[in-house]
Amino acid sequence: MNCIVVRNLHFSYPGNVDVFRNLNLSIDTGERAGITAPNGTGKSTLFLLLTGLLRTQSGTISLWSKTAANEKDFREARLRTGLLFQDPDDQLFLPTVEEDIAFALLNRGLSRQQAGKHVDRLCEQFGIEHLKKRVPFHLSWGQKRLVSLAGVLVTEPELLLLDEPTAGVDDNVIEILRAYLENHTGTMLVSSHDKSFLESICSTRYHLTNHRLEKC
Amino acid sequence: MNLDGFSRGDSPLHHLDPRMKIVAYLPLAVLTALIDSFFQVLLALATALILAGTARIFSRLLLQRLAVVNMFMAFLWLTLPFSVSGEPLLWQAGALSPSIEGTALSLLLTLKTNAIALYTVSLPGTSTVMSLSHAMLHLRFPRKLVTIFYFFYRYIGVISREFSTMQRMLKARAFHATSSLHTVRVYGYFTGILFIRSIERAERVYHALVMRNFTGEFPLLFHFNARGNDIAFLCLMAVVTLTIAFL
Repeated sequence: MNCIVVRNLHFSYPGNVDVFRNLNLSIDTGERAGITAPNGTGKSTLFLLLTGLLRTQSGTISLWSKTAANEKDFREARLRTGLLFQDPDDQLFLPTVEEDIAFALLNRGLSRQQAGKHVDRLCEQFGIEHLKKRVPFHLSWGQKRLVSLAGVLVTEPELLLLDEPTAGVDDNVIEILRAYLENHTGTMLVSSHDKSFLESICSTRYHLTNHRLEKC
Repeated sequence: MNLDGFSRGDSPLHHLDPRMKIVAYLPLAVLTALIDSFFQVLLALATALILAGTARIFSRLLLQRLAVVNMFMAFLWLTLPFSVSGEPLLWQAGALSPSIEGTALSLLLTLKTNAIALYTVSLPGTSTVMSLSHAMLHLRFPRKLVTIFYFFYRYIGVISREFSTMQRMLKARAFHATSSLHTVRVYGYFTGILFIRSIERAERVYHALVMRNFTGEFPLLFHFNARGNDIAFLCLMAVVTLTIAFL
């Protein structure tokens, strides 16, 4: 079963700067795909389009075999999707690490006790228990990255979209990320400049060039 | 930029339930803004000083904050004594003749402003912005208002960092402010870019919230429990407020 199918996607930002022209992509459920691309070619834009945060000018996006045409479709899909943003400062916004990680769970109606258990489990797994009471925006870049990833993974999304997860983080954080993602069973689409990282966690690779995705 | 400058501390006020502090603060601040007798205002100022002493916040930072407040009051002192008609205070030299009534009004407003500033720092100021946001939600303040309040706090620091980064970038590229058209143009671009970056940041933050199923609600992981000393403090503040009001 296909998790993501994109057909003839066209997107441009105001000012007629074409980002994608007839872009096609097909990701199976459980597939772990990596995307490499030069800077400014639209990796982040692709993730925003796949989650309905930006809208296509033409073409179709289907998620779990259902065409996502309007906000309602995308809202349902977002309950099954986790998106890690390139800049953790865009993502972290609550005053303590544990509250930030619990945010999506509480939005989904989980009780505080249930949310707390999930947060504890993930903090332990990522080795960030000692940061639980800290203010997220005063952490180092690598710590922010781990906390923002925990905030995404805490809902155990079926589809994980990771935008440059290794950007600006040290080897230790990369190893924690790698260890977690290697065992992740859901569908994954990861953009990164770090080819060795992508090779270690992804089964398929795409290269974004000339406004299209080409399988490597 | 640190909006939580007084929130860390170990005074009795720091340990109080933020809800009680807000409930005590709002009527006291409104009352102080409305009273117009010097005796009542002096009583309010004495209350403010006692609260500040209890909160143990007398510091250089407090003086800096009060200096900012009093900078605005300086404009009042420049105009009110000369614009309110009445008995001349000391001298009469044409249009420049400060009146007793104008000077008294300036003094009254200055005392009231400083009293309210001290309440603000001693009561809500001794809690973190997040616990205040939580407390406001518990007190049934409009959720949108609380969310805007919290977002302002959260992102003013980020925007301030972007401002500092851009300032450093200008310095690194040998920019020196002079009284030239070039400087005006650079500051124009600087302001414009900061504005655009803020909008773009806001869009990205909104996207991140939507991705985590944010629907405008503000879920709370922790809740407050009012204890005996919180209730006692509230009762004491109610007595003080009523005393100031009816004396």
